[in-house]
Amino acid sequence: MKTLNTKRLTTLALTLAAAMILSYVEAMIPSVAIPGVKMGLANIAVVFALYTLGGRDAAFVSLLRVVLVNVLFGNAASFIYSAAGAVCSLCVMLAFHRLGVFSVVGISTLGGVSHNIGQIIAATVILGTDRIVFYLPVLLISGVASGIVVGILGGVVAARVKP
Amino acid sequence: MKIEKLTLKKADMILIMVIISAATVLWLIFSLGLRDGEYAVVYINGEEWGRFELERNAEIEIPVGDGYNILVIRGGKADVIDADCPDRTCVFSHAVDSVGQTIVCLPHRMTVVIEGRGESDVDIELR
Repeated sequence: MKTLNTKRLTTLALTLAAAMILSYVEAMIPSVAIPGVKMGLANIAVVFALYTLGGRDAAFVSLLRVVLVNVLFGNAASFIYSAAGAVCSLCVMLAFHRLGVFSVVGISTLGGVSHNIGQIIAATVILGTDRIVFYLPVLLISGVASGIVVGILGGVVAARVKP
Repeated sequence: MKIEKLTLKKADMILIMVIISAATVLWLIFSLGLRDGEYAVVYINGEEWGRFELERNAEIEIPVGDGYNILVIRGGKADVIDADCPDRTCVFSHAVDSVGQTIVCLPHRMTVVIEGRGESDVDIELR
C-alpha cells in the first residue's frame, strides 16, 4: 500500500470526503445538552483508514480533513482547536495501535479522550487561564462515550468495506 | 490487510474503567472545593476586563472585537444569555455561582470566572 496507485488514491480521496461530510453533519448538531461536547464523528473515517490503509494514511486523512474543513467552514481560532485535538488524538491512536494491546474500541476511546485533552491544552494556552481544567471530567467522560460509539462504527465499516 | 475482530478485549474494559474513575475522582475533587463566589470576573484574551458583584443584578454587554457576549447577573448567578459567536457554546452553558466555575467562549477568547473574596487586590471595578 505504499505506492500511490489509482486504487489507493481513490480510497484515500473517498475516506477524506467521508471525513469532511461527517464534520459537516456534526457541525449542524448543536451541543445543547453539555456545552462544548462533540461526538467526533469524523474520527470514524480516521479509524477506518487506520485499520484498512495503515497509520500513514490515517494521519493523511485526519490532518487534511482539519485543514480543508477549517478553510471551507472555519476560522483561525477553530483551526487551532481542531488541529490541537486532531494531532493529539492521532499520535495517541497511532502509538497504541502499534502496541497492539487494545481493540478498535480501545484505540478509538483513547483517540476521543486525547482529542479532548488536546483541545483543553489549546484553550488553556489561547485563553490564558487554567480555569478550563474544570471541564476536564466532563470531557473525559464524553471522550469515552463518543470513542466507544466511533470505535464500533469505524470497526464495523472497516470490517465490511475492503478497499 | 488484516482486520481485527470487533470484540472488546480485557484491556479495553480496563482502559474505559480507568478513564471513568479518573474523571469521577477529578469531578469529586473539583466539586468538594466548591464554595459560593462573590464576583463574576470577565477575562478577554486572559486579561481581566471587568469584575461584577454577584449580589447585584445586572446586564452587561461585553464587546469582544467586532462581536459581543451578553452577561446577566440575576439571583446570585452569572449567565451568558446571548452572543454572536459561531458556536454559541457560552449561551448554552449553565449559569454559574461557585468559585472556580467558568463560562467559556472560545471564538471570542472570553471567559467568565466566578471568584471569591481575597483573590485580588481590586475590590470593585466599575466600567
